[in-house]
Amino acid sequence: MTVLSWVPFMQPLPGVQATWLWLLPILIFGIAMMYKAVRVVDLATYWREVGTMTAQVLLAFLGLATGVFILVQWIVPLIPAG
Amino acid sequence: MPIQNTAVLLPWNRMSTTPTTAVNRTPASNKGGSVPFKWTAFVLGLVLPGLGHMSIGEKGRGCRILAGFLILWFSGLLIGGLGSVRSWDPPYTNPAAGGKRNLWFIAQAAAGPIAFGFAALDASLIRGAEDDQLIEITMHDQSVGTAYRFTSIGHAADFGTLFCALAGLINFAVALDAGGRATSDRRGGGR
Repeated sequence: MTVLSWVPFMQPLPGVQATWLWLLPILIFGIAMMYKAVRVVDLATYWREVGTMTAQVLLAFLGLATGVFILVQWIVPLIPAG
Repeated sequence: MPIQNTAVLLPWNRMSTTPTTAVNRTPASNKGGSVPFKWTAFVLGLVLPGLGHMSIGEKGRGCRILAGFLILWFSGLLIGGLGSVRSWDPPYTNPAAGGKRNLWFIAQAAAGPIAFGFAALDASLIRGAEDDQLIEITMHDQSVGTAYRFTSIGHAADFGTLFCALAGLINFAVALDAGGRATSDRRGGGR
């Protein structure tokens, strides 16, 4: 199935199985929109707060991924087997 | 601690941090944070995301809540198809084996009638597809089952379900906020 033959809602989005990381910013942006709509004191700063929260969560994901990568790829192989 | 003060620590009294009396029920005393829970706003928030806040005068906040909800909900449906909101027969189960309740739908149901509407659409269009749209598949328990030929699996099914479940869960928290929010607390609302 290609994008051109895709029927939205009736069929799943093509290509998601291979490339799914780009879904994370959308997910976090939606969560930030709902969360900040409740939490923000002054709605004039709403979009800035949403952008900040989205960036913070994405950076946290990136930091966690980097930490796990270092742990699995570099530190764990240093542990003597047995 | 005197026994009458322990009542305010019970979970069902968390919305009100001080005992409600005829004296402290006035708007002026609500500045301290004691607000009677507004069940109407809570229920309206469950009926339509953001409607609870709109009903207490926070229209700007309600519109933003609704926009965030719609982004999450329809992104989930675009990613995983209608099968993302499914009350029965979750992915990887064989309906012929007796059917199974989809536990993700509990979270999605907090989106209110929208969730039940889309679950009904899934039941009629995807799960109830015509025979020529069904393919034979081998289930994880090695039994033979059938599925709609475009049923989402893998990351598409996972992310689609997750998007809609998070939209429902957050909406429940938002509806609770609408019920517990002081009407006089403008906090920039309505802009």
